[in-house]
This record gives sequence, structure tokens and C-alpha cells, in this order.
Amino acid sequence: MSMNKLALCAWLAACALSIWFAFHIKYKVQELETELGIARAEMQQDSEAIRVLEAEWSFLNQPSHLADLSERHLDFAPLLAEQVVHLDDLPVRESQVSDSQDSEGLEDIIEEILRNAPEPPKKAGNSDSNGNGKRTVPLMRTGASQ
Amino acid sequence: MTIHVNPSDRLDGRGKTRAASDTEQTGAACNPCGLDRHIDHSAYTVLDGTVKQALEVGKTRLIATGLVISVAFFAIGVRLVDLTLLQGNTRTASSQTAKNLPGTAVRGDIVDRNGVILATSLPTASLFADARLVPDAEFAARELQKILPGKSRAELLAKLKSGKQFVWLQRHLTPRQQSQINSLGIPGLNFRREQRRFYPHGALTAHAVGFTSIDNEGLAGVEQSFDDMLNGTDDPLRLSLDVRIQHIMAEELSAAMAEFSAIGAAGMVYDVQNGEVVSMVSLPSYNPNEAGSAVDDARFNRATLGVYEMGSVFKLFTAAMALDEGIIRISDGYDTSDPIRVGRFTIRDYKPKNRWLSIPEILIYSSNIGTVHMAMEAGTSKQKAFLSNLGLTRPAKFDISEIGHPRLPNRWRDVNTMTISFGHGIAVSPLQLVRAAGALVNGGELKQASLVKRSDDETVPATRVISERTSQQIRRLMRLVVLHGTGRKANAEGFMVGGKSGTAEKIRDGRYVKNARMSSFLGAFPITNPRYVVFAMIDEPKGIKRTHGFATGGWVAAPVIKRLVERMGPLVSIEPIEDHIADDRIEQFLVDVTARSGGHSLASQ
Repeated sequence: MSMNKLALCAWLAACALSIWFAFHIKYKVQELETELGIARAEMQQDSEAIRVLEAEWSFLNQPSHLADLSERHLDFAPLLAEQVVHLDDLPVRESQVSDSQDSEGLEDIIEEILRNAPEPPKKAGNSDSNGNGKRTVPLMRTGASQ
Repeated sequence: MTIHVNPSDRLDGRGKTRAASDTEQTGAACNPCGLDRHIDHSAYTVLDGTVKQALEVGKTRLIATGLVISVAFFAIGVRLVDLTLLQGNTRTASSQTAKNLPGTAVRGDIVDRNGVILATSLPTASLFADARLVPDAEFAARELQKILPGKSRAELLAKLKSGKQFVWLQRHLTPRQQSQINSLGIPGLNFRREQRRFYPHGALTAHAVGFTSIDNEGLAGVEQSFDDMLNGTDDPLRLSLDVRIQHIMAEELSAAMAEFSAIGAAGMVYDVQNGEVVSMVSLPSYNPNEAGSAVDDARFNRATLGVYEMGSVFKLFTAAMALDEGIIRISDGYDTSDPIRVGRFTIRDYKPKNRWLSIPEILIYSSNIGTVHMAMEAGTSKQKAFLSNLGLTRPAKFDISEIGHPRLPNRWRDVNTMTISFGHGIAVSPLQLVRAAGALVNGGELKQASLVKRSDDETVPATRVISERTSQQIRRLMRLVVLHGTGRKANAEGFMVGGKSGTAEKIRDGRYVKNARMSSFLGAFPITNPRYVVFAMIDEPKGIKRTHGFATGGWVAAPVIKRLVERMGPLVSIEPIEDHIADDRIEQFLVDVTARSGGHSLASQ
């Protein structure tokens, strides 16, 4: 075995290896591309489905539809101005005044009020972002307040 | 170059002479017969002369060629590394989101200020035929007609027999229709994927959003004015409208329309701080999903395209002009006992008081005579300039193309000045009106109106039209009208509404008709620091028993404003307060003025 033959063998082996590797890569890429195509098609289908669902959601959230549902199934009525009370205007129960020392006691009271307050009715869409004015605690009265 | 030649080869058994020829330059040629080669390094022949020269040339060429090829391969290698390792990173999966996938380009959505979808594009299939390939047109037409109820058989047959390569049979099929047609298996019928515009809120926002043609070209509203932008992007276009407030406005207006048997109505809610239109309603409305079948009256946008004589709400502008020009002080007054005669016209008060009225009283009792005195003292040119500054004499700039041109007198004479002072003889759109009213109450700056949501840090184009002080005086006057005057029915508890009612007789065939009115109310709240101007207008309301036969703005439109403000106030986080201190101060102001009898005497006339 001379050096040349060894080199030849090495070259042939390298050649075979690289051919195998090239084809391996090629098939791998083809496989991945097929997968990608499927994934893309699925994504497109999903995004179309999402569009349809979003449209349907918006359709079902028509304010008139929600108002109708609320009227039939809930006891909520539109919030009246007099139902919104300032925190400062709330009377503090005597017992709690005597128990509490300072601000800590007030926080407990606020927490209790917030806990007892029913959820305000939800209207269409999210809450309005451009809120201004001071924070108020809505105290809901349900039903026949009008 | 030297060639090593085995001496034994040269004299081999076959007598072949191994002369060094050009073909023997390769190694293989040294051993043509496959004999065991024995290279004897000690014995070789050195070739010279022409042979040597030829070999030298060949070698040089070989090196040159090899060099070129290796440079080329090196370049390819570098490029390969560059593409796969270096540039490959820029096209990673992270940038390939579902939104910018190829083939999904759709017309952008339109959403309201809170992101509620008002218009979106949905994928649909449309049916077309290659008429040359349809084997049995009669059969195909018969079968298709069963599936497509909207099409006549004759029409389908004509299309299928047309011999055209491409002919639409039905656009925007339902999924069920598509599968039925598919299962017919008729050759030559094909589907094309298309986008169809869908408006989930239908008639509620029809006039603002508009609609598109079957080919998705905007034909009205924002769909038309932002056509290019909507086609160019997937990002939604965010309008300033709030569907909740839009709903409240539409509901209250249609209730009033029904109660007073009116033929139409319009309403607007306008943000005085940044010029955003939060609600814009025009009734009757139409379903934009079937815009083609809507009647013209329903498609007509009364809020921006319609121009109307607004009646007494214009008295606010006259008062603002007189106060801002320093022609009157708020403590002044006029004698309203005598009707004003100009040529063949006589200007009277609707409910004459026949006495001196202070400026607040003129507005509270909506005195035409008092207002005319104010306008005449200011003069025609000042009135013209003032109304022009308020943007009432030219079409408003707005985000939709349905914009009405105001109707002005051909020649602005004294008689025009008089009638315009109380809102007759000039017709403007509700959009122009709320924009100008916004300037009166927000401290005196006229803002650019917008139907598209503005970002919080955006500076709104604005021009100063009246002073801060005049604006405050006008706000007080508006509050007094609601506390004591024709606007009492607009007083929404807790929201400090101020405003002015208006009633105008409609013109038909060039003359005013007694029983065809435009009843409106223009309000602002909370009046101590206004955020919104609200406007409601009812077209041709008829008096009913409950209102003692009245169908004026104070009876018809003011209650709409009251309920609207009561319902929208909590939604827009306006804290309800009963500011008695502020009201008392405003009241005080009225008492002061009335206590001071006499007042301003009229210079002219």
C-alpha cells in the first residue's frame, strides 16, 4: 500500500461521504420545506378562522344585543349618577373607628367595601382607557332604582 | 520538465518504441501494457529541445487554469458560507408570523376606539366558469339554479353558453353552496378565493365606516377616504368612535323619532379637547352588508353631508361674538318689547316677555329680538368674520368625503345679519356646528375634527377664535339655559350639562313651513370643564299630548341629550358631581344681572 493508494482511498471515501451528505441535506431540506408548506397552510387557515371568529365575536357583542341579553338575564340597570359615591363621603362605622388607630384601619374599611360591592355591569368593549377624574367606588343598586 | 522513462520499457518485447511523444505526458502513458512498473530513479532520460518546451507550456497552462478554477471555487465557497451561516440568520422563523405570510394580504380592519371590529375581511369562495369546458350547459344551469336561488336559470344558461374562458357565475358563496357545487362535479366550474368585507355592527356605524364594492374598493365613509391605506396594510385603522356611545345615541334618537313620528335624526358627540368625534349617528341608517339595496335617504349622512338651518342654537355664537368683541358686557341688556321690522319681515319672539331682558335672559328665554339687537350692534362684517373664524362658512375638513357645503346668503345684507343671528338664513352641517361649539366651550380654540383616533401625545391643529374669558361666560350662559330656560329637560343630574335648544322651520319651495321643523339641542358637559359637546337633532317631529303639542328643541331634543349624558357619563369615567357651589355662583350671576335694571341701550336703530 503506497501513499498514493491511501490518499486515493481517502479521497474516494471523502467523495462518497460528501455525496451522501449532500443528498442527506437535500432530502432533509425537502422534508422541511414540505413541513413548512403544511405549517404555513395551517397558519393561514388558522388566521382565517381567527378572522371569522373575531368578526363573529364583534357581531355577538353588538351593544343592542348585549343590552337585550342583560335585560333578560340580569338585574342590572344603567348606572345612575347618585349611585357613584366618593370615598370621602362614606360614613365610617363607629365600632371600626374605635378599633382602628389610624390609616391602617381605614384601609381595612376600604377593602371591606370593595369586597362587598357587587361587580359593575359590563358593557360592550373594554373599559374606556381615557379615564379622568378621581377614583370612585361604584356602589351598585340593582333593579328598580328608576 | 523532465520525463522519467524506464529503460526496460523502451526496449520491451513487442518492439514498440517508447518515444516520448506529446501523448506520453501523463503518468498512465508510462505503463501502457499494465506491466509491473519499475521505476528506476537512478536511470532517467532528460528530454530537451522542442519537447521540453511543449511540456513547459502545458504546465504553465495547467497551473493558470487550476488557479482560475480554485479562485472560482473559493469564491463559491465564500458565498456559500455567507449565505448559509452569515445571512441565514436574517431569515429566521421569528419574522414569519401568521400576519405577513405571503398570500394572506387582506384589506385592513376598521376598529373603534376600544378595538371593537367595525369592518373586517372574511375569506370566501366565488364561482366562475370556463364556458368552453362545460359539457352540458343545460344540465349545469339547471343544477346550479337549485343551489343559487338568487340567479335565474336563463341568466346562468346564457353565461354557460357564452363560450368565454372566464365568466363569473356567483360571487361570495356560502360554504354550504361551495360544497354543493363542488359535489356536482361539473367540469369547467371553478372557485376563486376572495375576500369579502363584513360589518359586524351593521347599521350602527354605517355612515362613518361606509362600505365597499364587490371588488373591495371603498365607496363611502372611511372605507372610501382611507381606501389606499386600508389596502396597503394589515394593521387595523382605529377610529375615534365608541360603539357603546354610538349605540346609546342611536337608541335615544330612534326612540325620540318614534315618539314624535319624525322622519329622521342626527346626533354627534364631539371631544372638545382633541377634536375627536366619539359618536356620529344619522337616522334612518342602512345595513352596509347590503349597501346596494339601501335607499338614498338612508345612505344620506345627516350628520356631515346634510346642512340645516339650526335655529336658536346660533344665538350662542351671536352672544359669543358680542361678548368677545367687547360690544356688550354680560351684565348688559336690551329692550325686547317691540318686534323688529325689516322691509316685509317682522322679527318677533316665540314667547314674548315684552320687557328689558339681560343677556343671560335673552338666551334663557331664547329672545330673537334681543339677539338681533346684539348682532346689529356688532355689524354685518364682524358677524361674517366671526362665523368664518368658527369654520361655519366653508365645508369642514373631515376624514370622510361626505361633507356638506354650508348655505350662505348670496349677499350678506342687514336682514341676513338679523336672521343669521338666531340661526335662520344660514345652513350648516351638524359637524360644523359641534366643532364651532367645541371652540366656544373649551377655552376658545377651534380644533381640527377627526374621525380617526388621535394618539395621546399628538398635537391637535387649533386656532384661537375667542378669549378664555368669553368661553367661560358662554359656559355660564349655557348652564343658565339648562337651569332656567328652554334646556331644562336636558339637565342630567350630576353631569352639569349646559346647552341651548334650537327649533327651525324647514323651508319648502322657498318658504318656511309652519309644521315642518328641525328641533335640536346643542349641549356641553361637564360645563365647569367641558369634555364633550353633544348634539341631537330631530327632523320633522310632530307634537304629542305629553308635550302639549309642542315639538320644539326643548321638548324633543333636550330629553335625548339628558338620557344620553346620563348613560354615557359613567362610561367615559366622568365623575358625577352635584356642584352646587359652581351652580350657585352661576345663579348669583343671573340674580346680579336682573337686579341691575336698565343696562345697555341700543346705539343703532
